[in-house]
Amino acid sequence: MPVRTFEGAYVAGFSELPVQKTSSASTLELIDRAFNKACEDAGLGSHEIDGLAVGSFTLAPDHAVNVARELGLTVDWLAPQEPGGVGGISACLAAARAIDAGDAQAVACIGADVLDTASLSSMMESFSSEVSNWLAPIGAHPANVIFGLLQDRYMHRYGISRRDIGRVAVLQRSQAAGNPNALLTEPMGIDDYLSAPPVAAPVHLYDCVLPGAGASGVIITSEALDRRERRVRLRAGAERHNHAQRPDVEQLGWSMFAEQLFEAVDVDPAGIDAVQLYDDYPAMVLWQLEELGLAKQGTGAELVARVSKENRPFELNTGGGMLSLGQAGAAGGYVAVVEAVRWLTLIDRDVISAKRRLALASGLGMVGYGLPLSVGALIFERA
Amino acid sequence: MTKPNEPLISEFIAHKEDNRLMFTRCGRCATWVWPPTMSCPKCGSNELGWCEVEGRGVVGARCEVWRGVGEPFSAEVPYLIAAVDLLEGFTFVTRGDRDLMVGQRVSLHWSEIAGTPWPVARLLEET
Repeated sequence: MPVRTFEGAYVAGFSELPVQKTSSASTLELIDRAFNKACEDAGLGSHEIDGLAVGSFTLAPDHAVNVARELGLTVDWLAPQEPGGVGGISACLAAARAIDAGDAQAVACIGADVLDTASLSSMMESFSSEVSNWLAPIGAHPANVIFGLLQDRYMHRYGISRRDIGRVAVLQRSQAAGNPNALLTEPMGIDDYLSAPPVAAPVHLYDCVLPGAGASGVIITSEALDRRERRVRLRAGAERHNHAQRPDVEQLGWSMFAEQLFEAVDVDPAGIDAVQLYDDYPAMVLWQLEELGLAKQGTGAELVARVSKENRPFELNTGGGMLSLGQAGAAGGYVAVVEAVRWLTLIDRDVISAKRRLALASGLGMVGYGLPLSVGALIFERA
Repeated sequence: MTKPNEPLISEFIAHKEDNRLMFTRCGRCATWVWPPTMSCPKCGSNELGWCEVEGRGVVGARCEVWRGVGEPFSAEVPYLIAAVDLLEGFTFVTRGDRDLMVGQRVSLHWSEIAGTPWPVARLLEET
């Protein structure tokens, strides 16, 4: 069964450094800052951390063990993570399994990168063998192009317009105002979205996330080491890699486990209070709503229209997502995870509606020949 | 970070000499495997080889590149990237004429992109 369920794995703390468009800090320095802030949030000393998961595109020449050394950690469990957009989900899944198995008591999961527009562009040229061999020679290597093709297929398959997709961007921007880590908070209407310049049309400027430098961390612990008053635990999750294998597919992998995932926490997809979806790009938010079973295929945009009104069926990308925060490479894979946990800790403090006290976070990433290769999802519960 | 596999790309491009369009196919189960991988995803064989295609297909998706690319491509914008679903049953991502639309039938022709020979998509002349 591809869906993993967890008994005693808790999110004891987290951190999210705001994305900087330019930074003189190294990836190691950002990892150090995110790690210390997450430990502080958890009320844990670094000597209590006995597991480490690290994902980064810009860590070379260092590896996960070098990070342990730099942070002064001696660990019994070490997991270099796939650094793509599913890395935050993968790291939490692996860490929670380690906690449940007793292999570790407190695992620090960290994603970090130092990127800007220029370094992201050169990174994409040599992103993988297939990108470098078969897309870079013709200028089809940017992620914007690969997702542009995927979005174009999606739009034609279901008769979706840019106006439909723009609902996601407009909703998320409106929700970024309350997020101190958001880079883009000025109001954006649908006309602003539609009149943005083309980048890799149908992908236009407000479909793209700003690249930058940053880091995020999540500390997963046993129940005994979770010192927070408002506890959040991991309930169930799954990941799938190289599912689709070809770019003309309707499903990228979530459909393989979505039904089982919701069964594992005993709810219908509609029973999740807050859905935090990987949002590079807004069209992929619609895609995920459909493939995860929250909306019928081709109707994700209609659901987003309902989510944008009062009496919404659930909350969606409450912090504004990477569209508002920017993306620091592998740290982007933690945006949905951090927001899912942060939102759950608001229950009983702010007036938010939470029937089941459940939040879902998703990830997708590692672009290949016309499609992302990795997808995942994870459900957290406010204990 | 990866460097291009020059010998592999050279093999692909070499077929321009005799004006043939060759893609990779499994020598055991005959599945088209594009782009080539070490093992056939269907049967696991390592016996992938070059095999000729008719060179016709349908535009499954198109993407017009305007910005976000470095040299030498920044000088060419806007240009069109098309995902061509070939009759043989696999997708080839390539350049195409800017007015190509989704659903149109196209054929592949050897051309040159930024100094590299490459098969590009053109609207199929109906006869």
